[in-house]
Amino acid sequence: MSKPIVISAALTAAALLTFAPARAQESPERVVVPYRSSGGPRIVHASLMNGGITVKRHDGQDVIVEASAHSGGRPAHSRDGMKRLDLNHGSGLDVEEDNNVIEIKTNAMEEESNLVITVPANTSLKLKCLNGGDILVDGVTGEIDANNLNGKVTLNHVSGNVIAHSLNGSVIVSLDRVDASKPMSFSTLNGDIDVTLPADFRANVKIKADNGDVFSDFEVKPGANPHPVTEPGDAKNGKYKIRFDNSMTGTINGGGPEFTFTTFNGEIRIRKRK
Amino acid sequence: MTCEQIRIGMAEYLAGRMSAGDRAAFLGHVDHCEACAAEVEEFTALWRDLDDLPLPMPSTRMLPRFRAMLHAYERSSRPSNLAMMPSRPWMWGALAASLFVGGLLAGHYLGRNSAANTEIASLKTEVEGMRQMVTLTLLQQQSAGERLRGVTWSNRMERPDSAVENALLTAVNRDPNVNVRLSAVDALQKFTANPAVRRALVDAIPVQDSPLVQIALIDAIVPLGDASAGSMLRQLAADPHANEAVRKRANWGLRKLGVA
Repeated sequence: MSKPIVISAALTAAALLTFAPARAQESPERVVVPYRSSGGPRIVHASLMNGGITVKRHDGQDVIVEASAHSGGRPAHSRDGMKRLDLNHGSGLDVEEDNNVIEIKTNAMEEESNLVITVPANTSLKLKCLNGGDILVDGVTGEIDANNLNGKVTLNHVSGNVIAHSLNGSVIVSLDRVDASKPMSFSTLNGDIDVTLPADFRANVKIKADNGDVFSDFEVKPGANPHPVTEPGDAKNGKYKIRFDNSMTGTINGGGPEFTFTTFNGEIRIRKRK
Repeated sequence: MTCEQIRIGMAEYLAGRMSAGDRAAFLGHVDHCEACAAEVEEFTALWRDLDDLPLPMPSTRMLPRFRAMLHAYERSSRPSNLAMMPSRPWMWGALAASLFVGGLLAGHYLGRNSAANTEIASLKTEVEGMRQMVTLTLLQQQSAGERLRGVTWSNRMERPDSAVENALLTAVNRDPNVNVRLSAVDALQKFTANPAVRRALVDAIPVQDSPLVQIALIDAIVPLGDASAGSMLRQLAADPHANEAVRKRANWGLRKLGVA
């Protein structure tokens, strides 16, 4: 078993400080984690207190982590002709790798720092944000677990398996291909859920929307309880409107793994990929 | 464990006969070996499908054919007609052989149903045990997706047992993923005949940090009409730190229970 490598971004920051004392307002710290061919499948875990996470795909094998700390609202860079020496008010980026599992954290408590992570196409993700930022993922295939407290979760053109939650933001997911054997789950308290799925995907769905409507252009065949009323006449954008007490179960394309959609105050839209 | 040992241990793993230590080593390897993980996945699916496999029945033509053969044999071996009896030793041999085959067939087809029934029963128990094991194993995985699968596996069990019940309650209280907790609350609805589970669901509300899960718990408890949940809901409704939606839902629950 390979020994974990720890890359302290503080070193990077120190280097920046030495060679470029007059840093720009937003100075990204950058860490490149090479792929271990002997390791397991690639998994990236990232969690942030303040700020958002963006995950992009590239054709290379490395994982590139960039953190940018906003020196939010701090005064100008010079005073009485002196230049400010920026101490490490940076993101406190901390990247750790063990057997292709990459842990990314930032220690900055007060300042907002945004993470941009560039990964190979086949990468599993576990992302967590607390305040002031959105989670955005584009084009990744794998198991994606995204959890946000106050921001949005947006997953564009992803494939595989998704578990997504935001407490106060919306959950917007578009899946190109789904792992046919695994359940998925999308939930939010105050936001909307908007999920686009391949036309031929199969699932047993559980839908719960206490205070909002549910729309879908899939034919959802209702299960045993409770009895929803489908109103084709009341269609919005050519979609069926499904009315029910506050939850329903049903099947799409004959049934498959369990897909759960839960929102308390928002609306649910389940779209067919065109 | 090596990939070779995984292949050898596969049957034991699927049947749930592996010791805890071996299973840990097995899963430890599978977690890190994509090829073995794929193989385990494939065999698990196969094992699952075995349960749904219809029992093959003998063809309807088999019985008339067998009767015809028996009839022909009876006619040929009537003792009144001694001339029909085989006169050469090789014919005796042939007769013995056909008797033997006839007996085998009769035994096979006549005795089959009852044997098959006990076999099905024991297979069912085994499958049920396997589902329990799969549920419990999946609920302990690192990945939220696997744990979510574990929760949905528990829905396949016909008679969930206390081990699964406890694992699901632990998931409600401790799972780091909100969606897994939500599904676990949902899966526990079929255990609510057990007063201990009802109690545990009520107790889970104040320790829960996700408002969405708190609401799911209230929604699970209130329809049971158990007024003992009242004091907890009253506390929650009055708690200024609780999420506004949760307070509203608690008030709704109190009205539904008629204890507002």
